[in-house]
Amino acid sequence: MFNLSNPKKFQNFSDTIYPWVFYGSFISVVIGLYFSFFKSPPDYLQGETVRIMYVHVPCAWLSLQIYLIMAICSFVSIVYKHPLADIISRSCAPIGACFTLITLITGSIWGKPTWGTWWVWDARLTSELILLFIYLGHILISNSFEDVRKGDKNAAILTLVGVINLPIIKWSVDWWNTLHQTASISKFSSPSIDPLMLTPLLIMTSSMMLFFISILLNRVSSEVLKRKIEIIRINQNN
Amino acid sequence: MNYFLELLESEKHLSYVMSSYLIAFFIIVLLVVSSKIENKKLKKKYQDMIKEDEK
Repeated sequence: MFNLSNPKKFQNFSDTIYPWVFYGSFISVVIGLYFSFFKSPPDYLQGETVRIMYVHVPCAWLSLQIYLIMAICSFVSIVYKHPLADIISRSCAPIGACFTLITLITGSIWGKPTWGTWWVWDARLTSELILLFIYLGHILISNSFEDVRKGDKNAAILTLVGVINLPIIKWSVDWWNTLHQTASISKFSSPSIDPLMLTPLLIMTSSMMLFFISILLNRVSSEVLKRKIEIIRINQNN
Repeated sequence: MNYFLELLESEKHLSYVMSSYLIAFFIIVLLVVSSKIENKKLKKKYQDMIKEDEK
């Protein structure tokens, strides 16, 4: 496992698993869509809009998980100055921003027929919006320095400061009286969701996860190449 | 199949469901395609630079 911390070995590993993850994500999304549209009944309260949950919830989970990965990488980058940690963090930020954007848009579309409004300044919605701004801030900071290492260091600091937002997003529905519903799936109790609805939710979650991994592998490969190109350019100039 | 037909008949919710799926997958596909294109460009650039360097 530790061998993968070497960028070259990581690249070889990534080249091997990439086609499996890439095609796996498409196959699983087709199965997920089949279960979402053909096997899931409408909810007795939400009606057909419950199907929006099968795309909204996996993206919301991923938006938090990707940030957690970035936070761990930022910590490793600051403490151990490992180049792969910076590369992973930099590659994760645009993917995390996209999944957060999807969460906000699909949540808003779900909110209109269910709550009667596109948006409320509710604790969960506002903290998720702040997460999007942190992702955008990370992208902006990491690209605004001529020296890549300086950009990575400053972006890592922002990421570590922004970690405070993760527990706020997770437990905002318990801490404050919000319009957003509390968690239906918990590690510590059995899910309060029907198996007919849980199945598409879990399949769509795994397909989104595979999409994330395939995009991440691609972006990490691009970042490694960018740095190699930069080294060649410096050597040619000298 | 009945659940899908029910969804198609639901005039009230169909547009909300379909638009959220379309937007979500549009963003994901855009991300996949842009990452792949950028990676291909960089691979080509890297190979060209290596060839140039060897000369």
